[in-house]
Amino acid sequence: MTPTRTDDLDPLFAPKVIAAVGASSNGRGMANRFLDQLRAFGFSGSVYAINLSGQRVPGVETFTSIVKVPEQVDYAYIAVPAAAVPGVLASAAGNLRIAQVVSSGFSESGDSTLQGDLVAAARSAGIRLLGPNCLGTYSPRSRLTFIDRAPETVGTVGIVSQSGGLAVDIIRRGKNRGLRFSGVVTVGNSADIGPADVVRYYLNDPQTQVIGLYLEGVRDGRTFFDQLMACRGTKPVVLLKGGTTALGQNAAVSHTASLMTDARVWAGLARQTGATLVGALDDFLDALVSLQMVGHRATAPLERILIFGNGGGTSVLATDAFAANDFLVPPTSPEALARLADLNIGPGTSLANPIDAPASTLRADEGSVARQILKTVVEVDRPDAVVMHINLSVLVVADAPETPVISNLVDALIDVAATATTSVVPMLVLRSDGEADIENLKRELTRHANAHSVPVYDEFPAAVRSMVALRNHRSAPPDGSVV
Amino acid sequence: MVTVHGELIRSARAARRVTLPESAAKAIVASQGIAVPNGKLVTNLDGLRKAAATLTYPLVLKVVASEVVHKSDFGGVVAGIADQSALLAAWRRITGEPRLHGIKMDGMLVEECVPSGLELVVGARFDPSFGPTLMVGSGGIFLELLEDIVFRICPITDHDVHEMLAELRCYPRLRGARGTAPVSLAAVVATARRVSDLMMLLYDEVAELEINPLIVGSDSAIAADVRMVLKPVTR
Repeated sequence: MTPTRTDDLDPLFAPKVIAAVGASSNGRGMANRFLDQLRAFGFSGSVYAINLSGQRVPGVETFTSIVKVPEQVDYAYIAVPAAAVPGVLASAAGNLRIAQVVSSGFSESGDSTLQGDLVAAARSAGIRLLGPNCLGTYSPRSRLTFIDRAPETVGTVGIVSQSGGLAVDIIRRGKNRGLRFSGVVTVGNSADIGPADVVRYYLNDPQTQVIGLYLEGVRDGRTFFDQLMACRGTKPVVLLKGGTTALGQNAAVSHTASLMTDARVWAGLARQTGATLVGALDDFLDALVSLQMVGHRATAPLERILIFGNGGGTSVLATDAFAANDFLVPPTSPEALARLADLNIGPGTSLANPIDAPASTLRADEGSVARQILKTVVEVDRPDAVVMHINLSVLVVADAPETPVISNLVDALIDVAATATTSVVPMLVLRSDGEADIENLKRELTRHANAHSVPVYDEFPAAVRSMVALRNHRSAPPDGSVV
Repeated sequence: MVTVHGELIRSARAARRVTLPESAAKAIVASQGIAVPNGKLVTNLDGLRKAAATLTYPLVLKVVASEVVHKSDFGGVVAGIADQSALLAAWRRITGEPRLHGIKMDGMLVEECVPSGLELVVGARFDPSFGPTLMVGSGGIFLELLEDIVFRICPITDHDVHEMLAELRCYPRLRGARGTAPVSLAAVVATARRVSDLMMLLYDEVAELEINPLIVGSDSAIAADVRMVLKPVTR
């Protein structure tokens, strides 16, 4: 992993020359939109348009074929009718490195002849092929995008998605959950470059620390499995698997022409590789959020959880949710309790773990009593993780909405995690009643906590699932050996 | 390919069979070191008498026919045969069984009864994406109903098999629950390893290999029934 490392997917993540095939003079095609997106995102390399029938595309140098472009094209975005694509690749021989074919109408439509021609054309022209039947690639490091208003920040989460639409959701919703990406690649039918190739790139890419995949099926499962085994213990992998039921598999066949594998085989693969297998988009994002923000803080074994917040019933449910997933919520030690006795803690506070502090205790001294409790228990009992939960509407005082108590509590969690002598995973559960002002407050607090690498969840089940994702990764030995 | 496997698979192919005769499937797993009951495939009464003379009662008599998958559903199995007269009666019962009428038989398998124990399933399947996979679970005739099965991608380690067993709902019973003796996990692990190794060897030919039930006791794991399905012939 030296800086001079090269990879055949480099032109995908850091292209210097891009061609948009299928752009037209009227500016309405998908390739035109791609050109607009590149411009808006600030791509700084050279950009060319290719129009097969010789139309001029406004504002960009236009050619009738990739081979006529005066410099080597790293990446071509191809959106012309399916039947024309093999010809586009054949005529690009020698002047194109990676083609992303967004056109559909290949194997997913039930006939694999045209896709066979496409692959043959790419092979003989020496071009690596992405897709067909996909949406594009988002690589913030080089300002390559296939969506509008793409987030600019370069992050550490690398995504591979067999679905283009879901990739858009992952980028957009993920951004508001605090995710920052090193890349998002849609692979569609994976006729040439498949999920395993992109996982290999991410594994070797110093910018990527966490890998997330949306898959419906993989053609070369062996290579894919070996690639995930290589990630085991080094870079955590979260796997969102579509088509786990017979009906879902039928849908996947017509979506991306995927093969059918027993869902239980995927569960086994996850156990063998230490990957986290999830079945819903939000679970996927939750797991990625925790791995991106606190993956490096998780210790092995990730086991002992400290729960702190307001709400007796919530504390009980939280304890159940952790216990049901084989975590421990160990009672506060006598030593910690003795130290807490010096503080003047109000009535109704239960200091046994889960620590249930009523609003009056949390508000005491603008939150500094709560900070002391948290700091003391973390220092003395050294839990592997500390989860703070705040019922926002209970703490927001109608006549004093500017109260700093809540943000003080969040800061206390941030500080305790940052200054703890042993590594501790912080998580924050911000519970809202759905009222607009509470939702706004939650959004602000989330942004603040995320900026300090503290992941935030709506409710405990999501926090627990994310803790499981951290544990899966940490329990996998780096060398794949058996302990 | 190891000779015994190749020979048995070739002759099944020659007979245009998709499923190997149970006796052949057992011979293949036995050659890999998996314990199977003592027994013999016989085609007539004389052969039956001779085979029985070398075996220890109680015996079990099973029809061997490629068209019959669930033998017991067709009245094709008689177990707990105590002596020779019961054995001959069992032969007459199966040969006269109306549900088996018109079905082409390879013969009958006469075997020593396996002492009762916990019933597991250990199998391997060729997955279209991942190739050879291993399956371990609660076995017996209610396999599909129980759905207590876990998979791994082959080849597997002993550690993998231990993890698989720990995921099963029947795991507490394997460890000995409510006063019952624990079963030999080592014997189960060794069997699963051998099934995985065998599938890694044969997956060009074999689509599915299933030991059900694998009868496990405190010091043994015996493949009481073995099913092996070949892949379709590739052109």
